[in-house]
Order: sequence, then C-alpha cells, then structure tokens
Amino acid sequence: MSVLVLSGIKFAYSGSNRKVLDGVDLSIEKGEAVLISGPSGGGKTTLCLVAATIIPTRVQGDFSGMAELMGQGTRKLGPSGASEYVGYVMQEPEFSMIMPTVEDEIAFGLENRGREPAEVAVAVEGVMTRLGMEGLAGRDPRRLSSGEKQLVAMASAVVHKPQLVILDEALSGLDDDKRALALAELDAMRQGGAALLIAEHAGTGRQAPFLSARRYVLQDGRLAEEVSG
Amino acid sequence: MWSDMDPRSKIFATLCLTSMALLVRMPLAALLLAALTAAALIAFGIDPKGPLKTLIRLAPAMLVVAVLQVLLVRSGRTVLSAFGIGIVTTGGLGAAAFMVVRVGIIAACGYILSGIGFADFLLAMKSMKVPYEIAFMAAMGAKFLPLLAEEMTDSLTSAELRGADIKRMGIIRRLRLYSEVLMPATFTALSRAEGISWALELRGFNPGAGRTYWRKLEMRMSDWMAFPLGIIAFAAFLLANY
Amino acid sequence: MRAVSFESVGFSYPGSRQDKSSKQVFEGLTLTLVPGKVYVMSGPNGCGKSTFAKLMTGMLKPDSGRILIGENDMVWMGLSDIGKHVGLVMQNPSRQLIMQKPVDEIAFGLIHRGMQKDEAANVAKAALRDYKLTEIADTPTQKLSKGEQVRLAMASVAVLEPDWLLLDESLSCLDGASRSKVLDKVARLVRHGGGALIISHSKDLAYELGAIRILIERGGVSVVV
Repeated sequence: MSVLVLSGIKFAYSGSNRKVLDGVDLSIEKGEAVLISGPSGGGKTTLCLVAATIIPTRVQGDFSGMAELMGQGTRKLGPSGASEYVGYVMQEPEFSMIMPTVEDEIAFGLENRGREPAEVAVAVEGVMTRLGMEGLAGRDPRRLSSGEKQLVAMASAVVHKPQLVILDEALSGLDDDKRALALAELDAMRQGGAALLIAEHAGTGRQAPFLSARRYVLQDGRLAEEVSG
Repeated sequence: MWSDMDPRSKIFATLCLTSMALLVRMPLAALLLAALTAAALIAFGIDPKGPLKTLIRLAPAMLVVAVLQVLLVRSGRTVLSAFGIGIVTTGGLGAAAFMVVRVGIIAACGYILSGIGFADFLLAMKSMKVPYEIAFMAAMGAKFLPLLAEEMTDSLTSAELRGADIKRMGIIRRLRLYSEVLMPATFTALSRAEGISWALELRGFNPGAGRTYWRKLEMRMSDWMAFPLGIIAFAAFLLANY
Repeated sequence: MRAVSFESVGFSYPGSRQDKSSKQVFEGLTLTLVPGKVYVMSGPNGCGKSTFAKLMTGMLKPDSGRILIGENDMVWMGLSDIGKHVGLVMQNPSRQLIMQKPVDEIAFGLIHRGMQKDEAANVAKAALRDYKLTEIADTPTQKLSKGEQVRLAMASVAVLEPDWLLLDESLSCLDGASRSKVLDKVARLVRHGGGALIISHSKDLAYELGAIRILIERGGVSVVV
C-alpha cells in the first residue's frame, strides 16, 4: 500500500482563478523520499497542505482530484485522523510553539496521542540527543532563534515516528551541523519504513540531502520529474 | 514562590480578584483589594515590572477616561467651580479613582492569566468541565492579541525605519498610519492563528480523545490553599462593602 | 556613505517568566563595517545573528558600549534617522510589509521621505519591474509567497537608497532566479559606494560572493577576509 497517492490534483484558493496546483500526480511508497523543488510561489506549500489533509478540509478553495493517505481519502480523514500518520514540519516553525519549555513542546504530540508518561520521557530525551538539542532543555520555545525553532518544530513532528514526514522548507534555517543531524534522523526514519515528502526551493546548491530521493520540480502547478545529470 | 502553581489556582484567583474589582464600592476596600492583587502577583512569582509597564502603556487611555469621569459624574461636594457651575465633584474624583484601581487590577489579572501556557490553559479549562469549543476559542483569543501586538510592533518599526517619524507626527497622521498598519497586521495575525490551529490538529490535539500528561497538573498544598484564601477574602470583601 | 562601528558592545536578553535565565549574547563586541564592501555574517543557530541585525538598526539598544553610524551614536538617533543609513530586510518579511498593494508598499518610504505621491508611484512601478514583481502587482502583499515578499521588502528598502543594506537570512528562501536578482542589486549598491551585510547560516555564501566573512561563535566574533 502506498503511503500517499495524489492523482489529478487541482486547486485554486478561493477568490483567485489561478490554479496553484494544476493536475498533480504523485505517489510515495514506504521507505521512499521525494524531493520537490521549484520557484517560490510555485505551489510547494500548497502541495504539502494537500498531503497533510489541510486542503481540502481546512482551506477554502476549488479542489478536485483524488488524494489518499494510507489508503484513506484525505477529505474523510481530516487533520485529526491524519495526525496518526503524518508529521508535518511547517515553513513557519512558530506555528507549533505553544508549550512553556522545549521538552513540553516535543512531548505535546505524544501526550495528545495518549502515550505513557515514561515512554514520552524516553522519546523526548532520545530525539533531543539525536538532534543535538541538549543545550535547549528548559528554554522557552518562543524565545529561541529561528533556526533553533525549526529544530524544535522538527523534533516535535517526528517524535511519534509518523509514516509520512512532510518538510516544507523546514531545513533552510539550520546551520550545517544541525542540518546534518536532522538529515541523519530523517534518513534513519526512512530506512525504518517512513516516507518523506521534502519541499525545498531550488538554486541554493545546498539540497541533495538524499541521493536516493526521487526529484521533482513543481512549476506553474505542474509536477515534472527531474532528469538526473 | 508559587510561580509554577497549578493553572486552576491561577484562574480561580483571577476570577475572585476581577469580580471583586467590579463589585467594589468603598474606597478602603478598593485599596485593600489593590494590595491583595499585589500580594497575588508576588505569590505567583510575577515580577511587578511587567504589569507596571502595561499600566504605563494604558496610561493615556486611562487618563482620558478618568478626565471624562471627573467631568461627567456629578455627585457629592463640589471641589472646583467656574462661573458658578460645579466642574469637579468629589463623586467624580471618586469614580475616576475607582476606575483606575479597577483597570489596574484587571490588567494584573490578565498578566497572571497570560503566564499560563496555551495548552495548560486548555487542560485546566477541560478539567473544570468547560466545554472544549468555548475553552479553545478563549485560548485562541488570548493567543491572538499577543500575535497581533507582535505584528503591529514589527510593522511600525519598519514604517519608522522608512521615514515615518511616529514620535513627531501629528495625531491625525499617526492615527491614519495605525489604521493602515492594522489591516495587514490583523490579516497576518489571523493567518498565523489559523496555522497554529492546523499544527495543533496535526499533532493530535483532539480534546475528545484520551490524553496522557507526562508532567502532571498536580494540586499541591499551596494550590489547595489558594481556594480557601480566595473564598475568605471574597467573603470579607462582601461584608466590608455591603 | 558612513561606516558602522560597534564599540565594545554588550547585550543580553532579560529572562522571561517561563524562561528565567537571562541570555548574554554579546560581550565587548568591537567591529567596524566599512562601506563599499559586502559582509557575510555566519555562525551556528542561536549565536546572535538576528540580534546583531536588530542592534544595527536600532531596534535593540546595547546594554553597554556604543554603536556609531559615522560619528553619531545610535542611542541618540530615532529609528527614522537610522533608517536613512541602514535598510533592513527582516528574517520574516511578512512582518515588515505594511500596505495592501505592492506599489503602495514601495511608495510608502518615498512618500514619508518627502517625495510627491505621483512621483513616488512612478518610482515604485519602476522598482516592481526591476525586481520582476509586475506579475503580482495586484496581489495583496500578505498573500505573496515568502520569496516574493523578500523581493518586495528589499525593493521597498532599496528605493530609499540607504548606505547599508542588511539582509537577515533573506536569501535562504529564494529560488535561483530571484536570488541572483537580489545579489545583483546588492552588487549595484556596493558599486555606488554603499555596503551590505548578509546574514546567513551558510558558510559557503561568503566564498561565492568573495565577501568579507564575519563569523560569530557564541559570545565572540572573528572577521575573516
């Protein structure tokens, strides 16, 4: 079973005629990484929102096509249902900074999913160690620098071991050391069977995080497989 | 001392204080109430500098309302008159003083409440059997104002850096600038609030479902004390006033 | 065109209610930025790069030491005076955009600096073309993509011709085409004698631009030419 299947996805935000997505087909299997690049304003964030079921359930607009997450229609699933399967690191890390300390922030998603306190403590400590975040313990997430916030957002999104990790420009603010740790964590998850959907703009010369990734360019609402070379 | 007190005691304490602030009638009781609020701030481990700054920022608005109160409320003895018409009365002065104390107490309570984290607040409301929808709206509302304030600050800074000299600007131009900045700032703050609600849902925040707490909301001795203390203070207050 | 000098600047963030420990960011920071050059400031996450930008634009005041623009101590200058010398593109550009229409956004500063409305509108339209933003001329600024917002914020600041242009992590969210567009503009400013400070967590950018590299480690600063 594919983790994510999108077929013939079209979407225009309400009040606009422009099709941000104009017939997108994409499927991602277990243990597979897909890298989407393309110009800013090309629809990468919109595609991520579709994969996370936020579109069409929470955003108004003209949606058509078929979207399935873990074999279930995204419209029926909605974000609450999708939260079982998805870890979404948003472009704005501040959207997920609500708890008083970094540890509480990371634990939040596990608590919501009803995990045992002892298990939560172990998972939080584990992900903080792997991402080199020991120095952030006890800090107020809202008072961190934006790169540090991205790191906290990433830890919070992957701590429950989701089947699909969506990263929307989520590594762009990390320094080289932290970026390497984040990529190592993601690759380990992929090898453990998780699927990765990574949106990163092109042209920084800093991508190519996964040599094994399938690469696409999203431009004018259409997805084209990138020819390697 | 009790800065990490249970959010429920904080909510209870602010409920007591604000309702007393609205009901207060006697000058002595108002002073005592102000003292009690200060004591609560200290007890909850809040540096009084924060609320004081808020008060200073509110000062111009409070001054305008106070002046209106002084001029419009005419009761008691006339203190100042011109052309044989009483302008300032003791009743007016009293009303203005009460208004200042009330706003001060409510601002301090807002400060105590804003110290409670978003999720803690929701959890406390939930454990007090407040319907989730209402609790969530209240929490998002409480979150929205700081977001809007942040947006406004940055927008105004960028306006100043581009030559809008706000300090030396006339009041009309300043109001026009504020109104121009307010729209986009509100839009951004709203879309951020929307993003926060998406992120919450995607992280499994669904209050209907079973949830665990890796840190427990524990009612300790100091928390339980907040309740009888609040009730005693409230009873004494009612006796003194009526 | 004036130099910006940090003279043994100290700065720390006070503790907050939840996060009690105050955070010392700079201590005895001394650094002079000379116009006519491009500087790239890099360093690990949380080392104080954005704090530096806020100090340099007067949004934060140092606890100790002083920051000079030319001969003038910034403490005595209002933000609108500082803005004549330093133009900032914030890390989160949507926060600095204040008008609904992109044209008005660019014209805003021109009008406040005393230009007639018609003339300001013409300059703004030319700037939109210059930054390849004509396509989105009718889109509300808050609905633009982040890359478009960066270009718009940069255009709104650049038309005011400040001595210094300060880009806080602005390049990291730009695609190739808009990135080289922005770098072209930086180069043009420098040719005219101005200076640019580009903040980036990427160490490679300085080599790419042949810029002077400023490296911030926690608490200390080193300059590599």
